[in-house]
Amino acid sequence: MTVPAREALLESLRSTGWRAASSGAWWRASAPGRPLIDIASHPVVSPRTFDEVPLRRAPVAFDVEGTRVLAAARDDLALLKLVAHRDQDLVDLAVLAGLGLDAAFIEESAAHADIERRVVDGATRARHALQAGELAELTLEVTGTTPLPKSMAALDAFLSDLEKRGL
Amino acid sequence: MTPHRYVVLADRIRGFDSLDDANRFALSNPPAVICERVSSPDGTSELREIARHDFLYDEARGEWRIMVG
Repeated sequence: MTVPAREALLESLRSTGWRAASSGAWWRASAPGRPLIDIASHPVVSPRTFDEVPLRRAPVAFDVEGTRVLAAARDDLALLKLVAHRDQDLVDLAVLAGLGLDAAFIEESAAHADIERRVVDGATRARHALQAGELAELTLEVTGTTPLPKSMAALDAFLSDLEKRGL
Repeated sequence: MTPHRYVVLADRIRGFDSLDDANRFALSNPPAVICERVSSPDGTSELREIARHDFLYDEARGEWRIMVG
């Protein structure tokens, strides 16, 4: 989100009893018995590598219990997942691939942010997890069900497309 | 493979049959969230958070030192 939007959100949360503080590039808000909220503003900064990842697609609006919420677009999310490439990110990446990802856009975004090496690390980890069966086991552990063949095939195709583009 | 009752979401995801083992792994791998698998009548299941090991809040600096990114 933009900095003014982040400040407005933090002010609103604090006025309703949330404790909000920064952890460098990210903000976190907590309140007893309420969900934890992590907030990142544009560009998103990886807390592990301090790489900046600009969000280049237009945000996507969702209706959450009557409130319009803007979220990062699918291709931007996939780029963030490739940069972070924790186990949970790989599970999420398979779901995103099943919905359709644009490898050319991700190649452009990686070059634009000068994070090709981090993206290659993530894509390599995803390929290994997919081919070794680790991703299927992780998906079963997280979701309780075996992964959808369509998602796994889509992820395989997406990763192959990235590889052809040097990622 | 059968999904475990307890799952720790950290840099790596690990499943455990006992909460003590899950806690030990989470404490050694912050930031980490411990989840318990809850079954639904329709046969599906979902993970529900029961503990977090990422609240290293630094009162002096007014910020969290470690958080899930």
